[in-house]
Amino acid sequence: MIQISQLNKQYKTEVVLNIDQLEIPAGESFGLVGNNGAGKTTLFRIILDLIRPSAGEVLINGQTNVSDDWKKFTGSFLDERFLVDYLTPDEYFQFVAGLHGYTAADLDQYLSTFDELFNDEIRNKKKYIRDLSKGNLKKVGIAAAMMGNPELVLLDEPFENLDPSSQIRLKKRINQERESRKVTFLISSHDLNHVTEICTRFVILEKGKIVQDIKGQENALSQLEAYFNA
Amino acid sequence: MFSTYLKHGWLKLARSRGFGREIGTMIAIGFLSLMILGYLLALGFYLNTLLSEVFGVSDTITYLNGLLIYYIVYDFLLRYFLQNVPVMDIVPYLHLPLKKSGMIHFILLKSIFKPINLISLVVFGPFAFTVISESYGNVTAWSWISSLLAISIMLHYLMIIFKKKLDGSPTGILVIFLLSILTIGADYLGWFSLRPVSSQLFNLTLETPWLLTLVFIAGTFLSYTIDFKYFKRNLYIEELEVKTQSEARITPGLSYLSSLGRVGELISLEIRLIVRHKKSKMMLVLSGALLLYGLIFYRDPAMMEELPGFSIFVGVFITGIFMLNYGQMLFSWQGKHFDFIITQDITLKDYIKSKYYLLAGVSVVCFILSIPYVYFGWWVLLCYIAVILFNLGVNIFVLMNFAMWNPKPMDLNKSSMFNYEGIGAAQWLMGIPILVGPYVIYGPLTFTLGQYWALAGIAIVGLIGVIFHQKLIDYTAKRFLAKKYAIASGFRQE
Repeated sequence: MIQISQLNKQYKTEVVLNIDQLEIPAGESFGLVGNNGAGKTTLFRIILDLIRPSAGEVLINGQTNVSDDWKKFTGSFLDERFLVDYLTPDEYFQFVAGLHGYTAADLDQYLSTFDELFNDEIRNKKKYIRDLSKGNLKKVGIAAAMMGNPELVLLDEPFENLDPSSQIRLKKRINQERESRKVTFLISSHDLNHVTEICTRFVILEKGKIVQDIKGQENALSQLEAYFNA
Repeated sequence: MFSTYLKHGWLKLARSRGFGREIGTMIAIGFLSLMILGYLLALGFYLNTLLSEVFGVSDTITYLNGLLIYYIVYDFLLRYFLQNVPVMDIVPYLHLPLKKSGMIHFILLKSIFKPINLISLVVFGPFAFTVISESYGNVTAWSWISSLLAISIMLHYLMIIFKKKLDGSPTGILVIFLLSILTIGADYLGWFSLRPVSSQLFNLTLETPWLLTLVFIAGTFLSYTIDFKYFKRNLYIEELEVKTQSEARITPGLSYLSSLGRVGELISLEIRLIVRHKKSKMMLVLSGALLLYGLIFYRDPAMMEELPGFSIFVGVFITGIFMLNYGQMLFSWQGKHFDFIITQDITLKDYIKSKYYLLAGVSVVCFILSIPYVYFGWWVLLCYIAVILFNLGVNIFVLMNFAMWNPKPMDLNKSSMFNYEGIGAAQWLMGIPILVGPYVIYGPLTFTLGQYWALAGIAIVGLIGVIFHQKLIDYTAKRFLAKKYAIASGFRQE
């Protein structure tokens, strides 16, 4: 699904990301972990062609990401800049659904799979997105990112700001998606417990470099904990 | 503490991303201000001669005092359009052990260092120290000019509270409207005259110097205190940052636009942006009001005959004011969700196209509304036709390409308090090529081939642009693509 080679990003002389080789096969749930400043968001932004790398390239489905091709099958939510804050959540969903060619019924059907996560706080409310709480913003962004049956979904810190019930519901919803069809998830998180419950492969970034690549869900948590304890 | 605030203000400017651009704009504005002040100073030195020789006035002092009331009203109106509410990012200081009153004094005092506050000194200073000091002595001259300066500063502070409390509200617009009517209506149309009142009032400052001046100075302090109290009461993060949550108005998607596909969806998205934010809504109101702008000029038929080309200028304004105002920050409006736009399945060409059709659409609507100006002659309508073609074919592209020049992030959600980013004299600079453009064609042609051919020249150039607008959109989108990363990273820093 994603092939990264000789990727390098530096600001002046400071190297913030330096990845020789990284391949993420289709259908994999890929967890990206690392401390603050490790380069997680930078990597996501480069994959999404929001930042130009200093060297190297990213291929998505064999095609360079400096094109519009990947946008058709990729959903993403990194931060609040991915939301149009003067719309209501419903209007925002309608806009994104329009880009995917959804009918009103399609959209309704899709959003009903988020009912549990939304907890009656998102839909049919006379509230603009800018007036939502941080947790609800996250829910709106994630629901929009998973719209249109994307083959590739990128989520940056999806569990941050969510209350405990919502965290559990979100994990459930993501796992549902993984089980029902072939989809590649890229999820970054500081929370090792959550990420090990939904991912099957873990890459630890430190200072822009890949320092460990753990495959398989078993023992992943203890290995990650061992790394961060050291 | 004041020096720290000044230093932080300077660091904010010096370390901002668009430093070069800001300095450039400041130099240009500074230069423009100096030039205007220079002209006004020349007028000041010439004032007495002008009144006595050109207008044939014998008692120039009384005559001028009679006009001062109008000067004051105009000053107020001018301030309404030019003056900003002072800005300082005080949120980072609010929780620190600093006195709120100190911050407010800083904001208010700093705000008076503006060229506009020098106008009364420059225009009336020479008159005071030549004519008035000759007849009444130096002390009286000082008292007279001090009165005028005090009135200026008083108006400055009154305008701040006026803008904070009434700007954009129906009452505020009514006040401005009534003041305009008052000044135009009064002497000019001969309804009533304010001159005797004014000349009596200001003659009093000459006969009993300092008495009235002290009253004006007291008024200045009073207006300062009003501002101070208002700011003090409203200096809360809630009021500075998040507007009290407004209930969302659910507007159905514009179904006609949705039928146009992606481009239509994008336009409908942007129309919602425009109608849901005060800043952009004001621009719509302004362009509505400016539709009447032509009435001021066409009242005088002689002017039409002497300067037929002036109608082009009026036309650019009437049909293009929204385009100019909104377009200057074309990409900043959506800066907050720019990352969203460029990761969705939307091509940049569609994005640029939606911008083009939006600006073109508003321009065409303004043009249609301005057709009644044909009452002032066919020439006027012909001018507007040429101008609208020029707008659609040339100006919008000039604007879009200029707007790519390091657009700055803009927080549309800040309450209007402390949020007049981008509004002011600076945005007019970008308007210069757009206003001058038609004349570059018109000027040479009118002297060689005549005015109708000159007009045709403008229309033809515009028409060529319209015919090739797809190509121009392609070109613009290509340039935009190249600048995409820089623009996106600019928007990410706040």
